[in-house]
Amino acid sequence: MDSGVPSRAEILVIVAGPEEVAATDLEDHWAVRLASDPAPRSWTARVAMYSVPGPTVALHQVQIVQPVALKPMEHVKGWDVLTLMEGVSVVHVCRPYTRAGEVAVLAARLLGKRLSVSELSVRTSEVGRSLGLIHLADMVLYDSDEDAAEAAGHPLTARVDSMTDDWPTLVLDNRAVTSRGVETDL
Amino acid sequence: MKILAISNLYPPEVVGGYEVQCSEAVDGLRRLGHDVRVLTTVPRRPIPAQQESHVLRLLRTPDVYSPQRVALRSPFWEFESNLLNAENVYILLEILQAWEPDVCYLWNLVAVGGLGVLAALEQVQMPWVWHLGDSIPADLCNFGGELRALGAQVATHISGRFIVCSQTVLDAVERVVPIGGRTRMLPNWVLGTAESVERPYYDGQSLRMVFAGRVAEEKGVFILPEVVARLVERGHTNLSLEIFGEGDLRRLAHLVSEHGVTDYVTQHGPVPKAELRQWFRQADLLVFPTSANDAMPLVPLEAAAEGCVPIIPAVSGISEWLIDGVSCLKADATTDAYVEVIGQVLRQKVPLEEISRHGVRSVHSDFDIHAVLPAVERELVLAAGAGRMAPGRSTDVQRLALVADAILRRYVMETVTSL
Repeated sequence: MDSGVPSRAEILVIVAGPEEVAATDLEDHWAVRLASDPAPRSWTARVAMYSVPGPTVALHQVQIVQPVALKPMEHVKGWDVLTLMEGVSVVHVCRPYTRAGEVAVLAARLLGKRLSVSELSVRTSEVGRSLGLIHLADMVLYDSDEDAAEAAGHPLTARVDSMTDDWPTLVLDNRAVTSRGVETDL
Repeated sequence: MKILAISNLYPPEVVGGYEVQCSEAVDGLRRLGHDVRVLTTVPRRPIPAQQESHVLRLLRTPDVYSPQRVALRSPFWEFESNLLNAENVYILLEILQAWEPDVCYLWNLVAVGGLGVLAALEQVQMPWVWHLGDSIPADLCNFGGELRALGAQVATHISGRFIVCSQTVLDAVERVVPIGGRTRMLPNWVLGTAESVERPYYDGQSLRMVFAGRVAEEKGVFILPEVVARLVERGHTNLSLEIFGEGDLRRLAHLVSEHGVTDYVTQHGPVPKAELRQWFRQADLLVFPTSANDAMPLVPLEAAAEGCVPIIPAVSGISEWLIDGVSCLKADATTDAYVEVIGQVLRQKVPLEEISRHGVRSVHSDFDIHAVLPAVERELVLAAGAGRMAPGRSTDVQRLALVADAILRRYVMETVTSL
């Protein structure tokens, strides 16, 4: 289905982990299903697992689609997450209230990327939450009442059902776009 | 045009020539009719009551230039100094929002969280020009070589242009932050030059030499007592050397004594600029064996403007702008090389008066602020014309700065406690 977004648009979905996560742990994540879905679309997605548990633990990336060479990083100061975002139109950060999520949101904003976030109920850091981190995002997606309450106050939110084929909404070129072609001007 | 100049220091708060050049550029641009304001740091000492309402001394600084404070530095000082000072970002945003300048004119951003200032300007799409009298972008991204990728990322994500005072500086910047292709090379300048000056010239009787600058290893001043001693040994007793400046004066005094040239070398300490110009007017040679990394020191220009011929290294920032045997003399910054070239002057093998006169004319035509400032103005006009500040982003950028600050503080704390 034509979502009306430019061809070759690329969406980077960053699944921020509170700790290092193995590839098998990702199989049921909606981002993996999104990126692996063979349905024709005018955009492509790639997924990266990003974990920053502590200053000396390596950033861990699980590449699902479109392999990207990502060097191991020593700690949160590593800037390869910026390289990962080069050329993409939209960054979507799952679990922004984790250490890695905070860094990913920060990096995406510094690069001026369109940004959406989801999975607010995974909370392992209070730094971003206490400063209203999600207000740096253009859009907040939620799939539970708990997340909905957390997202309250953000000017653009959308409910999604991550357990069905109602793929989460992503923000692209000033429009909110779903795989079903629903658009909302931002 | 409304111009907001940003500099870590601003006279009378002075460490070197960089902030003096900043104030001279600001004054010059104001004389050209531009509305210029200066955002700089809270002074560390009492300064005279403000006559200049255009200077806003509001920025916070961890005071990286005070050697007495090194021992008191917090674990956060390096990132507050170079990377981010969220308070300064807030202050900057307030001024941008209230005053709406057309362009920001950046100078030395060390000690004010320079990269944060830069990022904030980028986030609100404020056009900027960065005047580099030193390799500041590289200094901000250095972090002891730990963050090698940072400089490349900074270069990729900034949109402004650079004025660079020498290829030496540009090379030093580009080793860390590749900014080539968006730079304009313009020299540092001096004020109040003339096309010609009335002064005495060396006639074989008595050769008067001066050194002016920081009395420090990198300025090469410590080789000078031996240079004088060797010239005297060769029978050239018709010479004198006056040394002006502060620094390691005890070491210098020891060397003068050790080489037995106390009758020939006089230490004066620092003197006001006007007095120094009078000394230059009377002296035949400026001996200035500075390091090859020196960005573009002003002293050789100030000396040449008074007809005092500078002897400068063959390779250094200033050497790119002056021609050997035409407006200066060049020699490697070694004892042998300086003995050789001064010996030739003493034997009147060098057309010193001709070089002196040409140096005066050259500085007047090419290095007076009146010659350089129009090009600076053009760069600012070009930048201002390329875009306007995006409205309504201030709160977002402020939040971004606070989140970044919190993440960095957590990182620093964890690093310190894990050591």
